[in-house]
Parts: sequence; structure tokens; C-alpha cells
Amino acid sequence: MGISLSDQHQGWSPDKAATEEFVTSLRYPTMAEGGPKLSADPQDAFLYRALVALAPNYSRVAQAIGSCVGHGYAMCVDILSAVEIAVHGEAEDWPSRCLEASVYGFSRVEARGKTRAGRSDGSYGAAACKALMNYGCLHYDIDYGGEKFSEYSGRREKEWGDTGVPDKLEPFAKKRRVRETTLVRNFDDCAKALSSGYPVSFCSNYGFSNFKRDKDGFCMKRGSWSHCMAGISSRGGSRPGVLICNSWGPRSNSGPHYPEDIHPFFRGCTFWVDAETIDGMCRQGDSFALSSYDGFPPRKLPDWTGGIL
Amino acid sequence: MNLRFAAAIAILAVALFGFSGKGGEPSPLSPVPAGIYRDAISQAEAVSQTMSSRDKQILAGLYAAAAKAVAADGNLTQPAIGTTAKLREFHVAVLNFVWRGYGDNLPGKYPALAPAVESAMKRALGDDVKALDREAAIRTLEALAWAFR
Repeated sequence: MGISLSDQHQGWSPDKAATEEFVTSLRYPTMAEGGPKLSADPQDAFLYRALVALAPNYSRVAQAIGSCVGHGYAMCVDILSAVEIAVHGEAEDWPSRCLEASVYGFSRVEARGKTRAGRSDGSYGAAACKALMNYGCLHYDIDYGGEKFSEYSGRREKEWGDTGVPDKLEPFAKKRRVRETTLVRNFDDCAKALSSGYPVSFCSNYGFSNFKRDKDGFCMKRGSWSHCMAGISSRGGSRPGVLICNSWGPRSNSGPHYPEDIHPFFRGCTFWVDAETIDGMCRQGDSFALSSYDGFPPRKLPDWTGGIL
Repeated sequence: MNLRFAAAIAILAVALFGFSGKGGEPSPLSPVPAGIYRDAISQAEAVSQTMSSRDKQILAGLYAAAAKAVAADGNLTQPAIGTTAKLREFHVAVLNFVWRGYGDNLPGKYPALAPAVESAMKRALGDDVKALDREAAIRTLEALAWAFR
């Protein structure tokens, strides 16, 4: 699909010691503690449908720097908040996409207790979890005391990845936190999480084949990407797997898909990954399920009749 | 399906079904409401007693068709009416096309009508922007169709 792979397409910089320390600090370190009663039977759970029900024109552009961790987790926040509203019936509003730069900046600077992180790129999953749990995130098109972010900007990610999210925006972000994150250790954990409505963000060095899906919508493991991607659906049947959403833009994948009527944006940037490959990605120890997002309070309708009657 | 297209379907349904019944007879498209839906339309029922039979027919047909359109929308892979805000947009569009456009009615023709419909929608569906409870929306629209029978 015309993508020439470079560092700007990746950006997972693992920190094994910090990740292990983070996991031990969690209330529910693994799915054994976080979801002991969740069904392990893999089944079709198309979480992206909740999102497009609330935002029919949903789309994201390709990452411009090595900020995949911000993109992967921002997508998971969008999915999580949409599922909480559309599936679980929480009285919240879904106003706009999560701002990738906020997750990325917090994960590189504030969540690591730094004041500067330098101009290099990259982050890791546990840092993004810590960022979302302790610092929250921002969203597009929301007025934050006179500042509003309407367009994606790689430059913003580069700046915030060095200096962190501006202090004046932190109080706004803190209202939008993810309450729980849990390490997923294998496909069964992922299937449990996804089929219960909890997205999973995968950080690994697994690469995939040719940006072309096979007849069942899968891409096979091939090569190495130090990369973070969002797991946004699960699939049972004869070939169980996880639907992975990549952050390389809405036309980065092609080929047959499942379900056939998948939303156009997700058709262009997702592929299924087999259960055993998911097992391998999880074994690298930096993939997490997310739950309990502090969403936006509902807005009020102005009226129901618009002055017509 | 966008909302204009949904509105067009509703209008087509009105044209096909809404004006074919006799005034004062319950429409086959509007089952008798019960429970909260019956309570929600109490004001609308009262207002309907003051309206001309043509105007009642227009609204009964409009709401029966709107209920059908919202139900059909739910069967689509990508529904156009997924939130209360989208339902309001659809509702206002259909009122504008049918009540004002086709019916040639001005706002305030029946002063108690708008408050009655507002009351019904608010009591049954609330006034928060949120994911649509489609079943509740369909039953509310059907109840309004029945109120204007």
C-alpha cells in the first residue's frame, strides 16, 4: 500500500524493569486478578461498532513520528469510552477522539517523573498505562481554557514528547483518566478482555506481512516492528484472533476482511492476528487491557422539536 | 444512511400509509401504548382533541412512519440514528418537511402542541445526549402516533 517502513512508523522503546515494577503496583496485575469470572471462550466481539455507532465518520491519520504508543492507547481510550456508553449504557457523552499527543507526552515525561525527555522518539505500554491512570488525557475539539486542538500534529507530539503536556492543560486531562489497566499474558486473556468490552493495547517487536490480508482477513507474522497497536475486537470460530488497528493511516491495509461489512476506516487500517501470534506478542510483557474510563458528562439536548410545531 | 435519507424514507412512508386511514380511527401502524409511554403522551392526547382531523392525520402518519424508520435504521450495519442527538435531528427534519412543508403549518398553530410533544419525548427518552435506547425511541414514536390517531 505504498508504505516504506521507517522509524516514524514505530516507536516502542521497552523498559522491562520499569514495566515489571508498574505491573506489581497494579490493583489487578493480571487477568487472573482482574477478570477471574470473565469467559475465556473466544467469541466475535466487534468493539469498533460501538465507536462508529457514536461517531459514524470516525477516522485517524497516520502517525508522523515514532509516537505509536500514543496512537495505540488513544485508540483504546476511544473504543473503551464508546463501549461504556453504547454497550454498557453509561450516561456519558462521546465528544471527540482522544488526543494522541497527550498520552504520548505524559508517557514520556510526567509518568516517568521527568521534566524533559529529549527529542528522540518512543515510549512503552506500561508508561502509557501509568500516564492514563495518573494524568489522564485530552481530546480533540474541546475548549481547554481557550486552547483547542482540531488537527493532528506530529510537531506537537515531538514537543510534548520532550517537555510533557503543558502544565496548564494537566487539570483538564486529569478529569479523563482510565481507572484500571491489567497485563495480558496470552490470547486467552485478550479474548476475555475484548469479549467483555475492554480494548487491549499491544506493544511488541512483531512485524506483519505486506500490509495485505489473507482470505480470512489475517496478516501473518513477518519481520520486526518495534510497535504499539490497538486490539479492538476479538474473534472465535475455527480461526480465533484479535483485530489489530494500526496507526499508519486509513489506507495502510488491503485485502479481504471480516466482517465483510466492516466500517470503511477500520477496513483500511486493521487486520486480524492469529491466537498463537497474539500469545507471542503478549509474552514480551508490555501489553495491557484497559477498563473504566472517566468519560465526559452528558450534554443536554436543546429541545426535541426545534421550534417547528 | 444519512439523516436526510432517513427523513426521506419516513416521508415516503407517510405518503404511503399515513393518510390512508379514516380520521379518528387507530392506525394499524400505531399500537396502543402502555406504561410510561402511555403516561408520556397524556398531554399530546389532550391537545389532539383540539386539532383538525387533517392535522391529526398528518402527525399520526408522521410518527408511525418515523417509528418504522428508526426501527429499520437499527437493522443497518452502520445506523444513522445512534444517539439521542441524532434522533432529535431526525425528528426536527421530519417535522420540518412534513408538518411545516407538506402540511403548510406555522409554528404555534396549536400553542399546547410543542410543549406536549416536548413533554412526551423528554419523559420517555430524557434530554441527555447519549446512546439511543432504540426500543424506547420506537415505542415513544408509536405512542405519539397513537395519541394523534
